[in-house]
Amino acid sequence: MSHDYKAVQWTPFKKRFDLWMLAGIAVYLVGFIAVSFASQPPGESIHPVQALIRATGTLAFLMLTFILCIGPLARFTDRFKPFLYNRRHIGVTTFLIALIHAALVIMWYHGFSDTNPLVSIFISNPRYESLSGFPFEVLGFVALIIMFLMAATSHDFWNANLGPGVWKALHMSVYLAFAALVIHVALGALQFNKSPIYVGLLAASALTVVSLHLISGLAGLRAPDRAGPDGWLEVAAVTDMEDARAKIIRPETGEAIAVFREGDKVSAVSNVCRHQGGPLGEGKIVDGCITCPWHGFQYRMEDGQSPPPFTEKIATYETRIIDGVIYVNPEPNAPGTPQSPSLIGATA
Amino acid sequence: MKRAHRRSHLLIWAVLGPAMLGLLAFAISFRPDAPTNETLPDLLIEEPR
Repeated sequence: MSHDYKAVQWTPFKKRFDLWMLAGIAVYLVGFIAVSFASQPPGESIHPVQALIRATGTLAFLMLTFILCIGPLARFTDRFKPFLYNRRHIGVTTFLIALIHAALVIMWYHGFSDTNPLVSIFISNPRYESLSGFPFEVLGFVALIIMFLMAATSHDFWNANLGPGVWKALHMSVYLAFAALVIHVALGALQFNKSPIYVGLLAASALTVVSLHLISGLAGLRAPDRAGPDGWLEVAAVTDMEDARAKIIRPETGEAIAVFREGDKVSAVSNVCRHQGGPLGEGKIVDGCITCPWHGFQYRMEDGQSPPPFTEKIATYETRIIDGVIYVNPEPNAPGTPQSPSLIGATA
Repeated sequence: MKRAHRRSHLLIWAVLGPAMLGLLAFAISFRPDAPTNETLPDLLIEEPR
């Protein structure tokens, strides 16, 4: 959070997650290379560097595909929330694997001529007007640059200095990187490797990512919740509210509202986390604080302020309970304004 | 996520998704019998000993 910066914000959970991730990466690389050697036709062989180029390339692509699926999937099921919480670490690791892939490609295919290898990527194949002959490596290079920018700014220092809006816009360029990589693979490796497995995997990856984001995006466009005659919005029956969880209400104007229940208390705050705009209503209450599912930023229920020493504040909203039904006033209080919770036992 | 980000997110995928899938289908459908891309890596073929 904003009161100081650390290179990596480790927690025991993140450390365990990273160890499992590194173990999975090692198993994939070793397995891929072993299968590559074992599946070579008689009389042909593959150099270990080529096998490593393919292993790192496929792994980086699969990891980026997974990263892009985490957000929409976490909206549909809580099972993906731990991955959402650790997405930053997966992203930086994916960039490092892609960087190894690119470095090996440059050394292996462009490192033995008089031309600067980085220049060679752009001029060794000048068929920019052709589709099937397009210099696919350029697309991979573009994706790598985007991933570098994202990895380099995957830190709260940059989020605070660029501002959440600019930061988010910059990181949404990952979609462009993914599209560039899909075409990079289609015009590159798949032009000579005609295995239906690779074609199927690439098509399935692209279709899955596009479908999930479109479905998730359309679901988020649902009609706003309509206010009653007094302007208040109906949230849900008290009995439909899960403990330590929220219902998200979308007023006709302004940002969405997250209405939380903790025990017999009901409170409402802005659904937008101050850190990166994460959906607070998809998080839960941990240690008495509303906890963002994206990066664990926390806010007190009673006043929308982050616990000391942190200083973030979000808007609070007035709530009331009538005949066991929760209502929220869509007019926000100023960020950090104390707001007494509605008590379920007192009115239900 | 802010309302504006949700909309731009959906708009990006509504444009980028079909474009990407269309290019992918085109690239796969019209693959030449023999690769023509000059930067495609060649397989390392060893002579049998």
